[in-house]
Amino acid sequence: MTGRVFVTGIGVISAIGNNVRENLDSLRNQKSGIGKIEILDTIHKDEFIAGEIKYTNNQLSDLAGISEGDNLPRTSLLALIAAKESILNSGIDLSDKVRTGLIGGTTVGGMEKTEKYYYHPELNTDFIKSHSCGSITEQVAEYIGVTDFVSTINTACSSAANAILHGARLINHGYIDRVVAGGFDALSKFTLNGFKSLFILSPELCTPFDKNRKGLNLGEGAGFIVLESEELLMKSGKKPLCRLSGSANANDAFHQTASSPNGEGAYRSMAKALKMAGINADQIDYINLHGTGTDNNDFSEAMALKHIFGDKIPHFSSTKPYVGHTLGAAGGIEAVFSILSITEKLIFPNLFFKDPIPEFGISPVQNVITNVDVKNVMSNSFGFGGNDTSLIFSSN
Amino acid sequence: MTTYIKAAQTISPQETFPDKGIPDTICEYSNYLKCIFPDFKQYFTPLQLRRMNTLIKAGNVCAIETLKEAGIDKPDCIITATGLGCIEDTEKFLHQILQTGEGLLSPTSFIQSTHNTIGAQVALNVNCKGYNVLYAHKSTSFENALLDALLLIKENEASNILVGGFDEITNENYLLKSSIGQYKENCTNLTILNTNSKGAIAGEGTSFFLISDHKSAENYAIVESVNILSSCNSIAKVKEWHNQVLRKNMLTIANIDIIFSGINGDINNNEIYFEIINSVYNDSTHAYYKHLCGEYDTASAFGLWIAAKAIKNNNLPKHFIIKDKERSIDNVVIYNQDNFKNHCLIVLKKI
Repeated sequence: MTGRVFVTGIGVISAIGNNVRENLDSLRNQKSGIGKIEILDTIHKDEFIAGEIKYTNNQLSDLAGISEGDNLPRTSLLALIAAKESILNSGIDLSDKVRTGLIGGTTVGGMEKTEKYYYHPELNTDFIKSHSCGSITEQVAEYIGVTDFVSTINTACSSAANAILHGARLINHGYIDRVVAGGFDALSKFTLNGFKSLFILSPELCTPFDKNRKGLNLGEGAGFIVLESEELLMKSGKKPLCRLSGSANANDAFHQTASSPNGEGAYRSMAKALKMAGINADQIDYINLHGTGTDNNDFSEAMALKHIFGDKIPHFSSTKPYVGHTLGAAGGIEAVFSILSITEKLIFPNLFFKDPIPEFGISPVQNVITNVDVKNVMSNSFGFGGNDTSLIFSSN
Repeated sequence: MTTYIKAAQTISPQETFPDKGIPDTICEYSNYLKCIFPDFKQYFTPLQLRRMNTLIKAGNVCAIETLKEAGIDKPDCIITATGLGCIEDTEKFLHQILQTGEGLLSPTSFIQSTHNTIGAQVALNVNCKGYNVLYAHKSTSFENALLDALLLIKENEASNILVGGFDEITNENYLLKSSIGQYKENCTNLTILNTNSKGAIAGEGTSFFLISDHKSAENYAIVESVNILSSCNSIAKVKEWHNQVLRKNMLTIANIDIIFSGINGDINNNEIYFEIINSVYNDSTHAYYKHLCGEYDTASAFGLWIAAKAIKNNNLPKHFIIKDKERSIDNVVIYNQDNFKNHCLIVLKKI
């Protein structure tokens, strides 16, 4: 791929805010959104905490500016809010004739409604049609008016990062000229109980890359970015936020749910992204980690960081202690945070970190760094099945 | 850059696996079509068998045989597609949650319900550390995967790509979808051409292909292009799109020897297919294939398997044919649409 693809808009909703401005304020003020579960109807409310968005579906529907109330899956509402914001932020007009794509990443699609009505189809059968991953993206496409290209990727927790990667490729191939790409997932009993059964949920606030990390906190939300071709920008004269300079996908091929102890998949995706961006490892100013807070992920990712960066690891942090692990949305939300790092000259801390993992002795950023010149940011997203993806955003 | 189909395998409700030709006779099913599975014992140890659900077994085995047919140990990339993933395990985990009131659960069903689990397992089995993605976009999932393979070949990122599509039907899922009229009840797969009721005939299947940039006399066909039109419900626009796609591929409607359409027994869907094929592809042989596999999100992967074999053999059994123009099989299109919304057109050429 040789073309240049630029970021012109961002949109996000997470446990730390309904939009980019609110998320940025929380990031800057080191305010975590993880806490008691109040909206999701689960018996594990007192056992686990989560990065839950404290709005009912009716309230989210209002935020999305539609009158569907609780009729749409929560996932669709979250996705619509973030997608709409990214479009508004980019200033693109979807009614013009420019070929536009919408690519979404999600792990469980409309599961939140399915689990609610599965034993009560007499109350509502909409879940049968809105259950699939693709149906959520399709609903968003209908609301925002994207018709040229609509697609959905599910590579577990790297889904959104792969949606962004694919969107950029489609622009480079001339299939479309711009794309709204990202990810979305709502909290559900299905995923909460799934991660519980894997014994990787922490009952306390997650502490990625800490010696005493106890697992992850789940979260929910959506994050989208708007990518435009260089040609389109030359025509409009619009000033982009930054550029997606590198994106790469590799497979760890080690285990169905666990990462390899040597971090090979993570190493491969990071190395390939650097190569594509045409920069050396020492030109990365900040790494937004996958950093879930599980024993396994953080060890494997730290190993890969050592492998790529040697003893000169740049500033790095996981922003999951702010929003939780938002699964299919993570790569989208963290892409937005990575872009904000460049545009706002900020590096976000890895909240709640205390002691480094003894084997590595590396510590993430622990307080917000302001007025820092961030030229290149790497954002990592790794998923079950060894699906590893790294994105690089650059200021030039 | 030319892209070839080097190997093609399908596990379907017919006798198609492994390495079988296009079936001359059709197995009849009432209500929905279930796959005829191979003896999985020859592929896995008892321990492995216990750990895998049916769709995962089928996916792995179909991938193994595809690679074997291609004579390739390890592909460069693996791209998979599914509408709903492993429904059986999704249902199992849902039931466990709902019946136990979120009690103590085994993670097996949860892990196996994750959509990318088959692509990941195949990668694990053949130690493929390259690009690996799963598309889950309803009826266009498989075409999205195939399109991605074409892009990778164009990018010189890969020479041999394993592309698969899979979906399964369970009784529970069948009943749910029939309750809202998506699937037909009290029907057989032999009459889907001439039904006048709503609902498609339900089915399932797993198909894998080795997509390659290597020229070989053994290849099945050239994949000229994969085209997806999202959210279009104007018949005039869809017709124009068919013409545009062919022009882009240096073809005209008159060049198309066979159009395989996704006729699925739903009266509304059938009508749209007939409207398109009768008006746009007037001189082509009209064929269908879902009487063999039923309707499911990645059914067009089975359509591609049939079409690839038909091109290579220059022959298509009569039971596929709606209207025969008795043409030599050089250029073929596979057209699939989903309730007049998402339209996909795969263009194949003889090698």
